Amino acid sequence: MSEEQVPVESAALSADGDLGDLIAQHPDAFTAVETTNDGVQVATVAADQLFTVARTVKKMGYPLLSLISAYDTPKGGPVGVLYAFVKLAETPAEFGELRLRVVLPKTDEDGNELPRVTQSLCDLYAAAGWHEREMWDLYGITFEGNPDHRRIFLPEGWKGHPGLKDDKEPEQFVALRDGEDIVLSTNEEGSW
Amino acid sequence: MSTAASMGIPPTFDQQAQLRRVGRDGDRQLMELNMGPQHPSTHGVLRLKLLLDGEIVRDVEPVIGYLHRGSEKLAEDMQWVKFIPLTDRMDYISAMHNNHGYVLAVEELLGGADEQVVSERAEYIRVYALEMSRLCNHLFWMGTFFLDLGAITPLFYALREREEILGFMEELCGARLTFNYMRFGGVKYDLPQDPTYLDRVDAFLEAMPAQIAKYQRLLKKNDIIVGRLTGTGPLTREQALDWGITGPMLRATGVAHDLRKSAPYSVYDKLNFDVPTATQSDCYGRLQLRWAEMSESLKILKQVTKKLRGDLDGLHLNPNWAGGKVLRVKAKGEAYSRIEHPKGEYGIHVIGDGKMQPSRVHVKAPSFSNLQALPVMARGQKIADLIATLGSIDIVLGDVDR
Repeated sequence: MSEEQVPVESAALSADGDLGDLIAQHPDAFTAVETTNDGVQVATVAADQLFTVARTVKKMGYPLLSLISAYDTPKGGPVGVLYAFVKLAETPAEFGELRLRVVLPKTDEDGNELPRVTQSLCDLYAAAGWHEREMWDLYGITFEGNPDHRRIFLPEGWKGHPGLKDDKEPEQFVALRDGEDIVLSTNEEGSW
Repeated sequence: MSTAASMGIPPTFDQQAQLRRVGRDGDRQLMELNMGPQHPSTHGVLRLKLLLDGEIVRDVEPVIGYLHRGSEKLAEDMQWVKFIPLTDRMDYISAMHNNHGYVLAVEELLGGADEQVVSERAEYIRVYALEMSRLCNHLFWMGTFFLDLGAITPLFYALREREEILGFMEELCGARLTFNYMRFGGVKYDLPQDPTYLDRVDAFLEAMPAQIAKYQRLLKKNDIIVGRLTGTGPLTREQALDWGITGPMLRATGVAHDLRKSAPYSVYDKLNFDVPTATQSDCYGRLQLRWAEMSESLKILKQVTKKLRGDLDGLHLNPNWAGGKVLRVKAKGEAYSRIEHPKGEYGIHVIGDGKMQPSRVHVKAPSFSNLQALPVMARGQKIADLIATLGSIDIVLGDVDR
């Protein structure tokens, strides 16, 4: 991106308050800003810039990671992850909330499957650990840099990520024993 | 046979290597111990993998998922309103708050059009039910916490008062645990017809401070309790924030962060109450704090019952909400709402794509976030203190696993 385009890009993406400051500090990182139904602005951030942006968020005085929630969209649409950061507050005036979104397309323009990879926030917020494991487990999103990248609810060795809209009924039998290769039998026909 | 690599699981963590740390460390013989998933003090099916050096906990890893029912996925196959009873079954100790969190998220999702208004009367009934539920939660926590420590008597005291509250709730909504009471636009039933209902509630509220004082007389300065709990499960303010801990656990570190004050929902901004904090962030401090929170709940409840006796505008349930077609309501967009659950920040993230069913419902459960920090609190402590520390977090496994 050339120097001249940057101000145009950041002028198109304007937001109020801390989110506006954040966009001004990272003009290249954001691709969209929208307002959700509950009246909070959400900025979409490129997956490879997430960690840098979150570091600024933490410096801006948001010590609590409140939410990591992945979601799938029907008909082969992208997978998304919503992040929410919260300020400590004793009065409504001090309270602040900042929301970021990462959008991960499933396929490129030619229909080739894309890896769904984003960055882990574990080095900034230890709280991210289990939330990221949950989203890997249910939505198959890889969080690069998570030191403990395992499933959390489903048994190790489970096939598929059941949160996804196109996830099929599991054609598998998984023993509840961890640490080993525990898929005892899988039948492509679906009968076992 | 499938291997982890063939299924695309990234090889960033070698669980076997972690387990193989078991062995000798210098002249110390280390031992691995599995606690649970059927251990009585884990409040459900939680498994703790302990690495022990004698009776000192070197490391602990909570293993969860035994109660995972996929409620969030189930929501995608049912109409919006039909998910309310499922939220009851997540944190079944304070189901009312789960109801409210979900209902609030969907109300925000549909926006604040005139027909979507929740009446003042409905809001006060909601707060009444929520604070009763908070009392209930803290009472039950107190009972089971001391049960974990080996003291059986406090449980009976706690359950006696909880039983009275459950009686009031049963009169209110016909259920004792899984209330299914909140509705979009209000609550399912108005207050009971019985004219003595509020009198009896008030009598209970009058009597309750004496009961709390009785618990404190029994437990607060008890040498065994003080010795057992002081310094057990320490957590600094920085650790608590880093691990995303909320609710009483965070306030015990001295941070007066309460969403009822800082991001008021319902009618909490019209009510007068304080946010207590503790002076010491250990099991003893958390106990003191929850007692203080019970007193604050009583303070709120007294104001609410006074209001409910007066003339409050509106019906308990807005009959015109979403055009009166609650079952057929279609929602498009996204919303995230958070409430102050007795256990911490409870959030619900909802996405609708214009159909009668949600496209995504995610529950940010306080038990899940708070349990994650157990290793931080338990490392270096004795194994018996781990039980106390786990108890002091106040988890419900239905909420952790969902």
